[in-house]
Amino acid sequence: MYEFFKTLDRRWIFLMMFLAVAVPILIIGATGRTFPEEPTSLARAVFHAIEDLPEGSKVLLSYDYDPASEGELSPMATMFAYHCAAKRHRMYFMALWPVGPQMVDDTIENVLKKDFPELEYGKDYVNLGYKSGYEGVIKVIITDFTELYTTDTRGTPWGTIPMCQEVSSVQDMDLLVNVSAGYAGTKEWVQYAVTPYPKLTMVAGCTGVQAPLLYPYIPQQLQGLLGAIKGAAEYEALVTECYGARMARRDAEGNPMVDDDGMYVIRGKYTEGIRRMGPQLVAHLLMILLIIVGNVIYFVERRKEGRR
Amino acid sequence: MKRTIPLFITAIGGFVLIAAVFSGYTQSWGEVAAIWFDVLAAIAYILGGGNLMKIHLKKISDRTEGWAYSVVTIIAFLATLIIGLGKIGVNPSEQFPDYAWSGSYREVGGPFWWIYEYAFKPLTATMFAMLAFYVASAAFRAFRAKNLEAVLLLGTAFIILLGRTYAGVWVTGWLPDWLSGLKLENVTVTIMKVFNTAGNRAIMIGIALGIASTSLRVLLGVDRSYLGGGEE
Amino acid sequence: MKVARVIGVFCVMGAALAVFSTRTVHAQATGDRPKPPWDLVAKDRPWDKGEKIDLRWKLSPDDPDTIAFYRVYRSLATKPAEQVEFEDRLEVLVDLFEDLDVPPEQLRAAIEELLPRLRAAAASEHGRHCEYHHHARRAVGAVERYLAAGMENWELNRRAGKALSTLENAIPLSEVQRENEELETSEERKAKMHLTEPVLEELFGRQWKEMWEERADEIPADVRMWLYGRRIAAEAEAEARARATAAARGDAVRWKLVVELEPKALDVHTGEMTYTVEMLDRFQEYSFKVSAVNRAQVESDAVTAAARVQPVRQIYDGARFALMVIVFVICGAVMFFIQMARSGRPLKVRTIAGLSAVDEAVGRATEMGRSILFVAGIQDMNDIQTIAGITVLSRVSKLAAEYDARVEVPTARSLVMTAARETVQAAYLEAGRPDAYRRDDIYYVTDEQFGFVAYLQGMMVREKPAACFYMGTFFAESLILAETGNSIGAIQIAGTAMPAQLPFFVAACDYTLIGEEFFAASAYLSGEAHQLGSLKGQDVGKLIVGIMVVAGVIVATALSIAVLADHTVGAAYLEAIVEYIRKVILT
Repeated sequence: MYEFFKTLDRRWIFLMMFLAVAVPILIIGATGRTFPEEPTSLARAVFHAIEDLPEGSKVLLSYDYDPASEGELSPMATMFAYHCAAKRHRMYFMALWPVGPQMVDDTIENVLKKDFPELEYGKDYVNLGYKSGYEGVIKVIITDFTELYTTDTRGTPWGTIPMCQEVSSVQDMDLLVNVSAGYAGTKEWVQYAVTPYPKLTMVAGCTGVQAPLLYPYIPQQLQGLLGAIKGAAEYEALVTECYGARMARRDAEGNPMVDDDGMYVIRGKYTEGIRRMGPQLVAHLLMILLIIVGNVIYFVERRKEGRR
Repeated sequence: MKRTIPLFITAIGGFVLIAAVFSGYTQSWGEVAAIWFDVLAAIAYILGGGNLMKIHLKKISDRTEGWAYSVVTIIAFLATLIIGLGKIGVNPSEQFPDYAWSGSYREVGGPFWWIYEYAFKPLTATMFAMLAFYVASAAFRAFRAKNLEAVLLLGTAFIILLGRTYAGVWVTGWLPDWLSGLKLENVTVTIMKVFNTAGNRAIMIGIALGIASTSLRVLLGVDRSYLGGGEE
Repeated sequence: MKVARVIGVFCVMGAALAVFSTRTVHAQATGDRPKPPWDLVAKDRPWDKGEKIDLRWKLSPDDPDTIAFYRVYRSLATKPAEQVEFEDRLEVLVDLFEDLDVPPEQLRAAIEELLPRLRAAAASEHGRHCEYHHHARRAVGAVERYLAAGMENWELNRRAGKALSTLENAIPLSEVQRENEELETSEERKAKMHLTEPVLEELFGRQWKEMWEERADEIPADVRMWLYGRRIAAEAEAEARARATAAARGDAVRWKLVVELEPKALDVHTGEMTYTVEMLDRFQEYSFKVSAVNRAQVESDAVTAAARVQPVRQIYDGARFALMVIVFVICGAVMFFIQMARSGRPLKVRTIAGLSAVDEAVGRATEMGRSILFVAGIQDMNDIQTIAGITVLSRVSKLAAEYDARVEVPTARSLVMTAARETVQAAYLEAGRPDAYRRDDIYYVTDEQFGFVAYLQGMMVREKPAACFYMGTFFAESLILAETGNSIGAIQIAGTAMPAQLPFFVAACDYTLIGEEFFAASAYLSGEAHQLGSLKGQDVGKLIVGIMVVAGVIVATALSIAVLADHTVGAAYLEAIVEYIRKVILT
């Protein structure tokens, strides 16, 4: 056994990791049971930043990520859109990444059009699309949207969109929500939007790797931060607690379904983050085990060398 | 001359843009310079595409090892380019129904969307997902408690790994409220917000100073190695 | 009798007391209006971008404990009269284009009258609204083409009318107009409903709404036209009412609340407050007023600044003074040490393990007869890390040329490929091996991050380079590259200034250059004294940062102690210092 671990081929590790992720996914998919989530202060701050805004507030949602990070970020992107729609905030979608508009389109299709058909494009939400320039875009639209965005992503002139007539720049927004996978992302929004204009309020969701870089900005520039899938799961727990009745699956009579514990059975697309915490738990435990095994081998080897 | 003009452009451009930051009239010059760079980079796409075609066509013609993959690359490149630029299979926009190319190239159901949804997205997601495997193998191979700092690092790693999952809640959930600061999930947040932030800030300050120093060397022409052409 | 007098006096006194106390209670219940602040002075902030005005006023004479905060107001921005006149004329011209019966001479006269103003709008910088200027340019072009064609081309007429209409819709609103519009919209909506709803209900009963919205094709055409006409008339009437309301408001100044400010201990101590109003339009004049609000939320009369003030843009932005000082100090230090090194003074730089290992890595590749892989990051040439990576490539290439090793440089950007080719070619030339230079070893792969790393992975597994250099900006692919390099047994030296990726490189690579070590690499590898001097100058910057951090921490700690000890004046001065450090130096 010792020799096996000492010369362990990395492909065994890959196999163990595969099983550590796949098995919980299958079990959770079959049983529907997930681990409970206890939201931390940062997730609560994000939740309250959106929840405490008066209905009809203007929220700019910038989805700065690509399909590579979709697994980590799309649950929080979905929940941001749902939460804003449930609060009837007016949503201005945009993207600083070239493939960001596809992420926005997916969210609009899956969340707004399916669950909020009463929302009207142009009055309740608008997709401004992508503009190249990364932080240069932020520097321009912080003072004047129309210097860059003369139309929305469909080609409709800015001045003819009702909700665009009410804003002239990012400073007119009541809240900035950023979902970021790297450059350009949350850091650039903090540097070029929130820092020079401290009246702006911002919350963000980011990948796990980026989160440590953004902690210095909390709480002054960033009210709250959702870090990786854990942050998404915590936020989902808060939103489903508040809006569970609406988000629940419906039975044949159209009533929200409830499980044995009396909790609403939430539709799958709104519990992606919570469901992925199962594989994350097992994978983390596997990594701890691997580190311990590796160190055991190391100390045994060191002792052997000491004896020699 | 080959090196003098670029040095001149670098020096003048760099110092003018630094000075422009301090005047209200010129603060937008930096954005103009960024747009000029975007124009250059856009033209460079043609250069890159041409180079890509050249390299892979050469591999095919020379029948070097793995030339079949070059065929796949060229077919994929040309197909995506033609479908995207030509908006093949895209319906006209509702606002401009008389114009055949008024629709969005990203229209749901179109060929370009199909390539993105069923080829590009799964491939990039797969590459990103591979990180999980590599993290595990790196952890097994590299995380050794060789000295005190490594032990502290490992201890922190364990706390974070547990604290970011339900395991942390389960392990320290029994702690009373007055000791809630010692619960793993809260210790995790403290480590990230205090210790990790301090370390990151120190590194970022050093990086910022390094950038300033390197930029100054480049602007003053002290370091010209990026230009090529040898020392003068 | 005496007793009756005494009782009467007491009754009168009692009644007076009751009246007085009632009035007092009443006054307390309603809240006495606090006395207003005074001596409000508004001045353009010197040395700024033309967005700020400084206000200074003396505090209300009332007891500071009764005043909760002060409210600062500014006037809403309006448009200059000539701009309003231009927009009115534009509206008239748009209507003329839409009217099919207008005589051509009348249309021509209206166009020629407005064309110079249209051209000025297309060229002017006023308002900074690019969409507006863009549409103005299009409108000018369309109108000029229509005139040039002799006003006989129907299609050009249509396009000119559409361009002018688009311009009209793109006119940026002033703050007053925007407020009017918000008020008008609800009135207009009410007017429409008021005029059309009873008619529809009378015709179609209570299901009129469903009828109008979902089954409109069942309504007879002539009825639909009549209803449509009624709706148009209702909208016109609502618009006229809104204009009348706006006109009735006349030239009275409209105010906007800017901020509610609590007076700080220092303000109470000095008896005056200051505030800088920001984000103003430098083409507008503004009025300001300040009022005091007591703890019962009763607002005093406001004191208005004597004169209207217009912010003026200065040539130098004073908000960046601290930045300028720091730039001069750090850049000055770097240049000083470069000069000192050039003068021959020896400078000591600590050994960096990763850079000392470059020789070893290149030598290893030569011995094993395998190539060297150099990845200069995945960003473009506008990223300083890419430039730093290219400068390291120059040194590595020169070494490789001397050792006769092959350097392969796949790039993720075409411009980086071009720069890398120049650099490597120059390095080979410098090493006296121009014949060994292979242009095709430096090539472009793809811009896409994971496509690039997929190629690199495959290439590393197939060709098994003996040494791998990762010098530049990396994101998530850092661990993939490093682990793959580890699996093929290559010696790996990484350098990046991306703090998020450093842990991955440290865990998986043999040597890692962390942050500023990476930027020092080029200077270090060159060995040139004047380049090493720049590293010393960098250390001066670190010293300044260290001093400021310590000073800031001491001041902030002293502030906390002063607050706890209730030393209000001391705390006030310390708070002012902390605010200055935070808002001026650190911003």
